[in-house]
Amino acid sequence: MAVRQADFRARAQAALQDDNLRDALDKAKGGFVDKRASAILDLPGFETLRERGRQIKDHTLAHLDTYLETFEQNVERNGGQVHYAADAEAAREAVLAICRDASARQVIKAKTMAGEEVGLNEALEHEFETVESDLGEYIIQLAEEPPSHIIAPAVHKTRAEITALFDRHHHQREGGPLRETPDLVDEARGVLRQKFLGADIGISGANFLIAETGSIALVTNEGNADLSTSLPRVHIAIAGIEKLVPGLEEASSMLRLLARSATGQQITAYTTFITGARREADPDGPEEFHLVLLDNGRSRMLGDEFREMLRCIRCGACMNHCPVYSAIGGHAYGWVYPGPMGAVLTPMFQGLDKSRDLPNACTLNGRCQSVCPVKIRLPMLIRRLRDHEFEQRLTPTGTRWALQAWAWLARRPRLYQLATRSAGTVLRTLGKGRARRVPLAGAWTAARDLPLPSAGGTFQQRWRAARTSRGEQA
Amino acid sequence: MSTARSTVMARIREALGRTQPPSLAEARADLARRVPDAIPRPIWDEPQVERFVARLEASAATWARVNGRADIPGAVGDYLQDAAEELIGIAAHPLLTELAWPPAWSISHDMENAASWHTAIAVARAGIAETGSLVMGSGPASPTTLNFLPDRHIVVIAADEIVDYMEEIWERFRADGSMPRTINVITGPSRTADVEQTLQLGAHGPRSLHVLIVNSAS
Ligand code: SF4
Repeated sequence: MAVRQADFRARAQAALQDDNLRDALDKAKGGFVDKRASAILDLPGFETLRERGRQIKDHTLAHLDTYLETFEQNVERNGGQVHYAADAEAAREAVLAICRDASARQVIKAKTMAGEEVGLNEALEHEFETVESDLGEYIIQLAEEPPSHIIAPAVHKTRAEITALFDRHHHQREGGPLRETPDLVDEARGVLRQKFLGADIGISGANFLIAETGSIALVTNEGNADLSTSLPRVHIAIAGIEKLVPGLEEASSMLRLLARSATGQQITAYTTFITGARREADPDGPEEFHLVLLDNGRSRMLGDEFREMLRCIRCGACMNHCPVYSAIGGHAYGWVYPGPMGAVLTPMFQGLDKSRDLPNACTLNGRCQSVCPVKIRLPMLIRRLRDHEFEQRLTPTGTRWALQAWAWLARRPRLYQLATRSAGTVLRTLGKGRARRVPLAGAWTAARDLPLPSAGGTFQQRWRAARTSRGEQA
Repeated sequence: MSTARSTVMARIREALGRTQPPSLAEARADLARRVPDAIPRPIWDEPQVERFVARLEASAATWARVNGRADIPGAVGDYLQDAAEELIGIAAHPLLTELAWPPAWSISHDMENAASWHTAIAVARAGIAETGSLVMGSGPASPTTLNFLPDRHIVVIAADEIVDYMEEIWERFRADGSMPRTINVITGPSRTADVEQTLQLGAHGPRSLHVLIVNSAS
């Protein structure tokens, strides 16, 4: 999928004025934040577990060649095939070749961020009837939109919008009655059940790759990944090489982190371990299992100062706790990975010149790092990217949208509380005379004479100071 | 192997600054140095089976306890109420196939018909008290699609197959010598929150999950 970068600021502006989006994001954010907070209460050692998660991933990355070889041998021992893909195009070609070899006609997909990253759907749709089975992904596929959140892809869609989409695609009509959530879910269940039963190929991602056994771990709540990977005669999984963990015990630890951080559950409804293809005596399951292992820039990150970003388990907690993400939503980020993780990953995968606004879509408040289950120092990585921009003279000018996001935020009491620390951080950063390296602040101070606050004081005081200086009414 | 593989491997080794990978034993030793033996996990005071059923309920599953395997058909009948009106699929598991099912019920063991079953009955390999999860290992006695196609899913588990933590099930599968194609760790019925973040049961998999805990399965 191509990056839609050039008009980032226009998208952020539009997002800030979209009331439907505001409501949807507001609702979702509260849910995610509260659920995570209560889910970690049952595990008093959660902080120790985060440290363990960090160690497991760092260790695996430092031994990636060893574990990849072990993993590959175990997949093959269980009747599966491993395909390496150096870049996005190679990954698409590998998947297309498997589908063609199988004389496939229909493809059913479970949600895969790696698939989104390489633009798999566009490639498949030319040749095969391709249907997304995760309800959120299905909704945005009908709407012909990219996902706006890595865990809840249709988080920006209201019930009325979903009703209209279903009317158009399932009933070829406009203006049907607004339907309740159970009815919409049931309708999609009925339509998609036929797609599951008719598909020749099932495509999934993988949350973890387990070297010890050659298994992939997949988590869902809907059960769509399970139907996608067990009913069709061929199962193709696509995953980044950084998804490896050494063994089953390490996978269990990572799963405890993932479920709590992503959806605030102790475990998802379905946690599935798939090892190779169907066995001879099995009454069901696919005859072929293929795993496409994606590099696409990961090996470069492994060797540079951004290695720790490869610890990411795609839980979405950083965006759920990000004041900028909650103000502008996922689409404004312009590519498949939004929020803080996207602000680092998109420049990594797509180039800093194509995503130069993203490292600046951040107030450096640090909440993302404090909730990240594998302790990725996201603000530090984002600052490094800003430094690179500065060195490469890519720094955008006149970036006012972040201030507007902030103004919006300050009028929302719950989010406002969450962001209290962000004000301190940004304003103190200004106070240290680093304004030239913070484009947001650069734009701000260029136009206004901002009084620098003392290190103490409340968000409200600072906010009032900032607003007065910008000549706004209370 | 393919050139893509050697390209990616070469890039990884360059990034890691070496030409040969460390052995698996060396790698495992490094991991052992980095992470303490004690795994941070939820802890609880109540007896194991109480924890298990409390977590089952939290996952929106229902449950009943029966004394012996002969009581299973009666407990299924109590739960279904209109069992004679349904198509019931039963996994070809010895614990189930040898039972005396009421002759009036339409029962099938043939997975070819699975897409039309309203209710399916299966046997769990293990239960996990930590999360109230059922562990299903695929094979002739436990087809994986049977866990997802029916509207209602009934799972039989022997009380002594319940373990505390997920890690303990790995010991069992290692003892088998190999992994089954699919291990489904199931916690409650299918659900989605994709429409306005409102939780709705029965997305693609079963709309309900009922667990029969058998005190003595022998
Ligand atoms: S960066 Fe951390 S919090 Fe964000 S998605 Fe990745 S693992 Fe989750």
